Amino acid sequence: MDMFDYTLLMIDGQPVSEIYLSEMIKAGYPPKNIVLIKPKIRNKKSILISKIIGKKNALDLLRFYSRLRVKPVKIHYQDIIEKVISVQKFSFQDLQKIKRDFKRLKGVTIYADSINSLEVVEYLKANIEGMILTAGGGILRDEILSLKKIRFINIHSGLVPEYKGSDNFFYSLIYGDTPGCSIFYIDKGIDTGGIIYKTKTPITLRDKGLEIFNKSEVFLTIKGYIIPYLKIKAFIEYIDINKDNQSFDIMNLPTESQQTSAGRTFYSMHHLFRDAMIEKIIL
Amino acid sequence: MFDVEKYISEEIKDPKYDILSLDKLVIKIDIKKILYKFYDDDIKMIKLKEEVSNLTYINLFSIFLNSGDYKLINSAFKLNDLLLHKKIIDVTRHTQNIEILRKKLKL
Repeated sequence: MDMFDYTLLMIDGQPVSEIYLSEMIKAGYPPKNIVLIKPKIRNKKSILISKIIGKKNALDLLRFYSRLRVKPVKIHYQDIIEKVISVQKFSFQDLQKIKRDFKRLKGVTIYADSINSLEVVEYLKANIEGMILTAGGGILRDEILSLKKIRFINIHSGLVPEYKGSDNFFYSLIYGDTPGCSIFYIDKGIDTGGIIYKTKTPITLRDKGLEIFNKSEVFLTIKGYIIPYLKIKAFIEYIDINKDNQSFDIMNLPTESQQTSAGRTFYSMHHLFRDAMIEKIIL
Repeated sequence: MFDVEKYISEEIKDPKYDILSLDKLVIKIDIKKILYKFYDDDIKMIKLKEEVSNLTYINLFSIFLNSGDYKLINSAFKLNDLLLHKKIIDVTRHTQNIEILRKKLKL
């Protein structure tokens, strides 16, 4: 097996998935397999439509229809990204090319309720071996973690063990620390796997002119686009450092055990707390 | 066995702000949305499935509020919503608590 063979497990509609795929291709490390998880079609009307025009077309149509019903909210993603990181480093145009890359790389679509669904477990068991890089989808349960000949890697947006759980990029800044990323094999705990690589991402939100935007916009943009970008860049950095190492085996990378009782596990920020903290860290 | 009501009543009288123990109560509020009276020593496994009293919830809110710790103050926001949902406090009190929490964050 080529030492950089891996499968990218993507979740439909999550920018993190698209950003991972886009940046890995740009860096010269395209995935060997792509598995995209799309939501199942549930209601009777939708099932009927899918029987007539096919599942994929039905989903696209339903998504288009739901967008028409909801008044669109303009979020200044590109403007915010430009202020935080240079726009040359990250482009929405790259994400638009993802659909073409997905077809070219023969991505497979699975219709399932979640990453832990039986459909996903069965597909992976029958078709995939080796390392799987997860791009969203939440916590993996025992059924998927116990699949033989597969190891999952997660890129976490926090320096473990100090920052585990959710919203760690923001909590790092709130507590006056430098944010960072940690890469590890996923185990049963929350962000407790053996550490493959850790790197600081010295980024600041202060004095970037972000106060002109709605705090929710700033939060959503950073969480949805900037953090995934920083995470995948950390993974690429690790591969770049090690690619010439002959003993490099993506399934058995050297790891450092975590002292799992150390550090803290954070949970998602309450929206009022979040708004107050965003204001604090951008001014 | 960890006696939640005893711990919180002692903590409210003589706050020590033991982050280790308080962090373990955070998950009960943030994720589980319910606090029981007794857990194992590690505050993980439920030993008695009897919910704590309203006063215990209110005291825990006060502890989180005055802890000076961001993670705990975030939980205080969530606990405030839970108090309203459980009808332990009314909307007026809920709004007042939000203002108090906001002031804490500005300090």
